Amino acid sequence: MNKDKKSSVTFKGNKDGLLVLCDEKASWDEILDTLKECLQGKKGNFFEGARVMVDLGTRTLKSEQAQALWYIMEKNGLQIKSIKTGTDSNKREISRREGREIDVDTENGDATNQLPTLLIKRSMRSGQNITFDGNIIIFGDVNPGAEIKATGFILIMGDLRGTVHAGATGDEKAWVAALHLQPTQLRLAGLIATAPQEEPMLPELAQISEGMIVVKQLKKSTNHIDFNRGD
Amino acid sequence: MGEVIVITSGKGGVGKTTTTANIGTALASMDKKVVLLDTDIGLRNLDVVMGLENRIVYDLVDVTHGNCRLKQALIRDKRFDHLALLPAAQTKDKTAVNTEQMFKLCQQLKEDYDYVLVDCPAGIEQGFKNAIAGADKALVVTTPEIAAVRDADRIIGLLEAAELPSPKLIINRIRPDMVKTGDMMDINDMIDILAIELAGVVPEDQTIVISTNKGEPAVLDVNSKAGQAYRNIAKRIMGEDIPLMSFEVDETIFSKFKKLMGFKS
Ligand SMILES: Nc1ncnc2c1ncn2[C@@H]1O[C@H](COP(=O)(O)OP(=O)(O)O)[C@@H](O)[C@H]1O
Ligand SMILES: [Mg+2]
Repeated sequence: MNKDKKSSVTFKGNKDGLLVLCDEKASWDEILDTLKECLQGKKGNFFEGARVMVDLGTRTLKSEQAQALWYIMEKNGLQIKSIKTGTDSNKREISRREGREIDVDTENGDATNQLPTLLIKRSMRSGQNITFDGNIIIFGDVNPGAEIKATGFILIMGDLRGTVHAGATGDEKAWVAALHLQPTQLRLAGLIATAPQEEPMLPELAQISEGMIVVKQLKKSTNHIDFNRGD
Repeated sequence: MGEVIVITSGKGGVGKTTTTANIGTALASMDKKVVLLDTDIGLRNLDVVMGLENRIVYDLVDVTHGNCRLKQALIRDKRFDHLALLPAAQTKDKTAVNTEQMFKLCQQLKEDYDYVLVDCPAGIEQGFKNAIAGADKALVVTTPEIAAVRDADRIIGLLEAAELPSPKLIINRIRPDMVKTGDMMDINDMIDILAIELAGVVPEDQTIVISTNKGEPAVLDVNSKAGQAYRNIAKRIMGEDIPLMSFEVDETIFSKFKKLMGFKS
């Protein structure tokens, strides 16, 4: 039993931070227990301050699970840099340092349809970053100094004032929507835009149209909101 | 059993030390037993602001390293018997103390005092971790500048992660005239971003500079507007329902503030 637990999570350090590999076959509870065991209770633990990349293999995360993972990490002084889930790691490897396209699966013309979605039920404050191989939905604000990066779409049920990058591996169909779209910087695939001067009053959607980032009012009928969850 | 309140900000020079000295003195003037804890090791100045510099024999590091007993290191205030200061060490660096030692020290202090106010150093490194280690509550100080608000936001995120939730905000150095002309961030904008409760607003006030140089906290000066603001914050900390002063209000905020106010646990 104990032996199984130990092997359900593997820690690997590299120059970008700490890679946490979670066994696809282990149960979620087992993984959380192992993480707690390895990190918790030890003030000034070995990994404190590390930037963590969590790789969950083909597993997909429910929002509660992502919350729990995040909570354990932050509580022990680790910062989540990215979570990789629901992906075939051989096929979709992100080059995180360059943020360049490598191999995005666009069989149906819209990669966001096939990606897992990470739900974040809190605001993102300055200095808090998340990178996710999939779509991100945030129930809260994204403050200046926070950075959100997704390979799919990003939907913010709150004020967007920080930096976001949707379609981070080059998907030009990716979009960003927010109740209040005032980003420090907004990127879609390889394009970059900053917020216009006037404050938006209504929810808006940013997407690429004819090679440019175009912002328009978010309508109820929009057919871009497509939540094909991975789980 | 008292409570430990850490005064923090992220950015330096926004008024943490000023705030600690003034709120502490105000609480003491209302008959609370208060101890001020300077954790800004290497850059201590709470003792100067309190006018107690020449009484220092032992410091925080002496206490945590067992060079003296806690009681020996506590300096009694000139004005109030039940107000004390534990000064920071000047010659060591921030790693001379760890979070466990700080936690124990705070536990020990709150047995004897109603309020333990911890003056936090700037930054988010070891000094910050030490300062929050034993805290029950947090006050975040900011000035109406984008960089200060950004750092306050960062700090609030870290406090939440450290399970010190719902910190209260103090906005320092507001200039109502500049807010009116649109040259300064207004209070609403700051609360909108930071999304935490307001503990109070302190105006830019030259009596702060004068009182700091004299080693007499501004709350002791009945004519000081900043002193008045700090007295109000101290009352809110004690659970009193004190409305904003006129200079704290920029018209539109008043109704909104009603909802935000209160410092109850
Ligand atoms: N409300 C105020 N009005 C005028 N000067 C102020 C005010 N608050 C702080 N100051 C001045 O700002 C400087 C920095 O304050 P301090 O409390 O030492 O900041 P911190 O501890 O955050 O570094 C000091 O010189 C102080 O006198
Ligand atoms: Mg200071």
